[in-house]
Amino acid sequence: MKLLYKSAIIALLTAYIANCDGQSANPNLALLALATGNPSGIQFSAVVGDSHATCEGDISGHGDSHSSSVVTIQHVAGVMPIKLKDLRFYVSGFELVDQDDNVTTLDIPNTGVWQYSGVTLLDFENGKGSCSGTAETNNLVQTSVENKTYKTLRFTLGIPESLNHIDYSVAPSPLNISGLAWGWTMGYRFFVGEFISNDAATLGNAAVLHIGSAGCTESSGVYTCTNSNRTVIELTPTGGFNPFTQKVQFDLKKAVTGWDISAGSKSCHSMGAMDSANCSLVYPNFGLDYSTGNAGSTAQTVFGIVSK
Amino acid sequence: MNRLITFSLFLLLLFQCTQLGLEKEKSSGSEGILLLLGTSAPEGTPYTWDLPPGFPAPRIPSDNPVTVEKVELGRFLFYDTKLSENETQSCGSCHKQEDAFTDGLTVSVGSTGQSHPRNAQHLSNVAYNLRQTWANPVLKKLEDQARVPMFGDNPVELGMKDREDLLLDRLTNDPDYVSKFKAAFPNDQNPFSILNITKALSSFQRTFISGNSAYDRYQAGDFSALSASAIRGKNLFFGEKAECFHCHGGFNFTDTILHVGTVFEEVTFHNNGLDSSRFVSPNGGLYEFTTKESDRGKFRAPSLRNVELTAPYMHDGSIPDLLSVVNHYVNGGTGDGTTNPNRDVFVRSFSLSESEKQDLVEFLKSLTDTEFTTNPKFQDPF
Repeated sequence: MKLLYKSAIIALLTAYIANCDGQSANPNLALLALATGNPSGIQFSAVVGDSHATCEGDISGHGDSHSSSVVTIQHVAGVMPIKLKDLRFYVSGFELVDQDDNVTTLDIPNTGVWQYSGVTLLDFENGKGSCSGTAETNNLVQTSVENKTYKTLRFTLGIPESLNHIDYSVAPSPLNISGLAWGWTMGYRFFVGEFISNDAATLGNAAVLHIGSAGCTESSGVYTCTNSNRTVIELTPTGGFNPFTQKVQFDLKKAVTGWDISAGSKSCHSMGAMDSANCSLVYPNFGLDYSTGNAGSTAQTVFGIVSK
Repeated sequence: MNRLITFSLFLLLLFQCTQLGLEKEKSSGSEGILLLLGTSAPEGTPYTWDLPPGFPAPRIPSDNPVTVEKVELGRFLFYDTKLSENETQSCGSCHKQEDAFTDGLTVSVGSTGQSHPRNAQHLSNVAYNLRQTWANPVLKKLEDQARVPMFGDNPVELGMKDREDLLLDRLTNDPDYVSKFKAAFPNDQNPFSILNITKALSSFQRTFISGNSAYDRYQAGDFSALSASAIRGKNLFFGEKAECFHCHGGFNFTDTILHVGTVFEEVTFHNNGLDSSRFVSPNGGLYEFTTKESDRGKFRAPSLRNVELTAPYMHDGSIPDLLSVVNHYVNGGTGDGTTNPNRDVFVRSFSLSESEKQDLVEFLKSLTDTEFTTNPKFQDPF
């Protein structure tokens, strides 16, 4: 009987490792993943301040503490109840740095769904409630990782330039989703974060943040973009990072710090100079300087490491 | 425990193999085989161009030859409100045949009521456009442009973002479309895809040839086709006094053109001297892409064919009628546009009598092609 179970487990594991598209993974890691109940990889989560980013119901409790019971100043970083509309972003270029400064570039296998050519789509909206995207969600960058504590995790928020202008209507998943494609620039949105106020005083006021490469021109099929708008996120937490026990957390509240939607909607579509008033307020949250599209003088605050 | 693990693995497998449902975009496998053979299977009935005299053959993307079947499918898709999420609008809602495929509005309004920052382009002779839209240097093909109204959210036009499956389901469940898609894309195992929708829409639009206006008949030797006033206007238009032809020249009355004989693709955008208030966000023109201040207010010079029917004018619909447009150019611009450093060199003040202005307007009206605006081949099939 035990043998039967073992065979079943082995058969299933083999099927899992083969992973629908012939991608193989390290069986030992798969077993370890089984032990932790997770597929192997770098896990992500999304919050709005102290609350989970969710499509169903209001997100509140993300405010700063107020001594008064009456809140008079409302803004995104305040206490207004909000409804999430969209939260999806592409990540790529993962590196782990160990205690001896050895850098490991993680191999990101094609999975046929969430990963292609080293790019992973993380999707925190399920199309329900106030969200209008796709039903499927993904919080995992599937890759082989060891159960050990590293000094630094590094990744890029965005799609490499080599893939940024492919024809999305025939591109493999996850590069074929209209909500992330940026048809106007023949490129992609690297990051999409949107929510609306559900507070009576500011009902429906929206915060819309779309990040993608801008200032793109094309000549003989070759695109050049003046503003890359890709941020390299480097996380070096005290005590290090162990992918088996810790995850990367994205905070939408921190992403829009600097915006006040109490008087009206705020949007940044990363359309270069046309959009600088609103974009330049929030780009530094991602560690980016909006005017150049490169790393700015302030460190990013939107990603952190937390326990699983 | 073992049972639990086995069960978990089953779940894991199920989850792992769940597709996003976007694999519908894959093209059929037969194309690859044909590529290996170095041939391509016939893709329907080649479309026969019936081009007016002096019109070169349009350059068609090699991956989307125009066929009768694609044009027919495209005609249905163009006028079908299934292409908007709330099923209230089609492409034809903002591109009406009687207005040379524009909508008569200052700026267009999308399916959710959101105003567009721009005035809807007319679609006469779009097959010859080197670039689509008012000021986008990277939208080269109609196939690429079609995705903007379908999936764009800034502004929302048809509102189909993240609704590819809904759109494809709507079409797949319509028996008329099943046969039309099969006929248009006979080599595709599953012809229903966003790419094929854009290919069919583009094919239909490429047939929008307009070359039978009074002016064209005059050029062909029917000298009674133009009034004396329109002939005087024509001479002003093409003469050194008004110099309209620099930006609105050639058979399509524009300065950027693409056809089979095009060797150098010269993409030009112009600042035509409108007041600087017309060039602020989101109407910066080419500046939106290059972020160079010298490109602020630069837009594509549209074809003047059927211009009588495409009022109001300019990228933002800010000039109501043809006489006002003539006055704008005679004045060398409007407001502080007359001194705008980005202003095109050919936009400069010159003197024109009131009767000469009327002559110019008469000439512009002679570019109206009623055969084009009433052609049953372009009409709404529903």
